[in-house]
Amino acid sequence: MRYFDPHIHMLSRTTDDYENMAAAGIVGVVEPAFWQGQPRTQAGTFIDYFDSLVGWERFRASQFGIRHYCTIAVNPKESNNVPLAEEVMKAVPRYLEKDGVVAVGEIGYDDMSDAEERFFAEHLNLAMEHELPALIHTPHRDKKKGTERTLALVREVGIDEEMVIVDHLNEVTLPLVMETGCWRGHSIYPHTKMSEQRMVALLKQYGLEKMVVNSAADWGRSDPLKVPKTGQAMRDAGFSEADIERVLFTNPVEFFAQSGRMSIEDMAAATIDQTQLFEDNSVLRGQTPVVEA
Amino acid sequence: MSDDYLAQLNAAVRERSTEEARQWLDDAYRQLDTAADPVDTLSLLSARSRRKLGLVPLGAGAADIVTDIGPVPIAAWPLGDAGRVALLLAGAAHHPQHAVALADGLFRGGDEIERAVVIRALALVSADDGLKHLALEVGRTNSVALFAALARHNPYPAARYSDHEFNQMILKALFIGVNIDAVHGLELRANADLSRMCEDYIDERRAAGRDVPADIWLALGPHASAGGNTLMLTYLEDQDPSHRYYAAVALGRRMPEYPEFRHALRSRLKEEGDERTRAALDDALSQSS
Ligand SMILES: [Zn+2]
Repeated sequence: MRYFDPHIHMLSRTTDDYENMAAAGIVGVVEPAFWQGQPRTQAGTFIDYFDSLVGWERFRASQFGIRHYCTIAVNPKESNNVPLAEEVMKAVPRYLEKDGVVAVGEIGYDDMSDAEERFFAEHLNLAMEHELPALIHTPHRDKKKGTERTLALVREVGIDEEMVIVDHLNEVTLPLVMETGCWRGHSIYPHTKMSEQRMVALLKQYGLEKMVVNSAADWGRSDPLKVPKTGQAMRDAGFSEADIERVLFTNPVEFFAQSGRMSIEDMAAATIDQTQLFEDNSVLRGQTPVVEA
Repeated sequence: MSDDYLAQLNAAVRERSTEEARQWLDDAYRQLDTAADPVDTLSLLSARSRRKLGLVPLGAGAADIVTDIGPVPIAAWPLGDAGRVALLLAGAAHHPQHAVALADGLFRGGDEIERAVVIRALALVSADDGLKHLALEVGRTNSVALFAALARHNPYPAARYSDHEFNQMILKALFIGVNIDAVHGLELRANADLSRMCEDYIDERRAAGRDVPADIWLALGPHASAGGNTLMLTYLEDQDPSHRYYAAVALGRRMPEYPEFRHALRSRLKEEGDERTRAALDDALSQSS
């Protein structure tokens, strides 16, 4: 079974994780720009972070045969530092044109402050301008209200709901999104968000259409294998292999393929890194490259 | 000069492009010519180039661009990346005072592929030292794709690097696994210090019980010490055909000075089963007879 993890922060993960993910069948990932556990103090650190997402991290992933895409945005938490967020927003459009950038995100509400709402709306407009999907994070606190306001803002700005995924949903917030055309994201994250078993129950109740599952693994206690583990939980609950592939591979790829910058076919092709596109596959001597610490 | 490069590259891109792609490129040239902020405009156009022009390589019909410091092979460049270089050259031709800033800006604002494109095009954009800092910066990266853009099929390092800089690049390539068989000017720029560094590196690898990179003989060979020669002769008999191949090539190149290598190469040829190594041995033995 091939899997796709459409929300994972690989910059915080080790090469052991990459190895285990590849061994478990994960062929591609989307890494959304988010905060890094502590607030940044200057625009330059955002820029370097974005550069890592479009450059270095893609290389790291390619060493394990995993295709790496990313989304770019000023995240909701840090948009509360308004002067800083304004400065970073000037650089965001340039990144939204890059080939490996498949959505605007993570955006949305955290505290539901005025500043968050302002930058959330600005990002949705950028997504429309650059013809990109939008990846929306829903808050941990006051989640139901946050999701309602999220959906209201999506309608107000007027972005096509097909181009929107609302993430970190649970039993309470999923029904709200089911009434819209937005895609439905679920983060299987130990202790806080959602478990594999609860996810399976949601799939049984609500069906497979537009349903997306991710690990949201990051620098916190999280598990980069939650997508394949959800696959196993679905199998144990009697879902067919085709059902598993639909939810854990095809759905997320189809959502981000709306960017025009990746496709189902890209996933099927052998991993060809950019060096090989430039010349041939004799660039590397054959043995696994040594990466200096 | 730089105009000629642009003309050649532009013709190569147009020949393989659709009418729609050609129109996009023409329009992009116009936008650059009239841009208030050419660095910013180039950055935007470059980001779109792959999606507009595509990933088909220019192909074998596209001849190397010959520059003052050596040939730049472009046949393997995808159309979208060749377009990026064409736009960079066009911008530099139209805004000569910004030429370095344009390349610098494209590199700084680029993703990894765009950065590699700038590095591959260094000899076309600025064959002097104006952009050497970018080459040296890339020389420090561990990203194989980016590093290979500098080290392979690129005339810039051999033309502009000091011995120390050149040697560091070769050692780094050996270290991260980038094959040095396509390093431009390696034989000419090789030096005694490089051979010594390679010998030390082999000592380290063997002490640690690790493999020695097979292509190392290309860098060690040209100025090998007596000890280095002995190592090459030893690896000419190695189990790994890659070692035998590169040792044969490197030993063959030293035959004019060391006719006694002939004996070793001949007896190797009698037993050699690997086709590529046989060809290298034949080549070495026929050239010096
Ligand atoms: Zn996240």
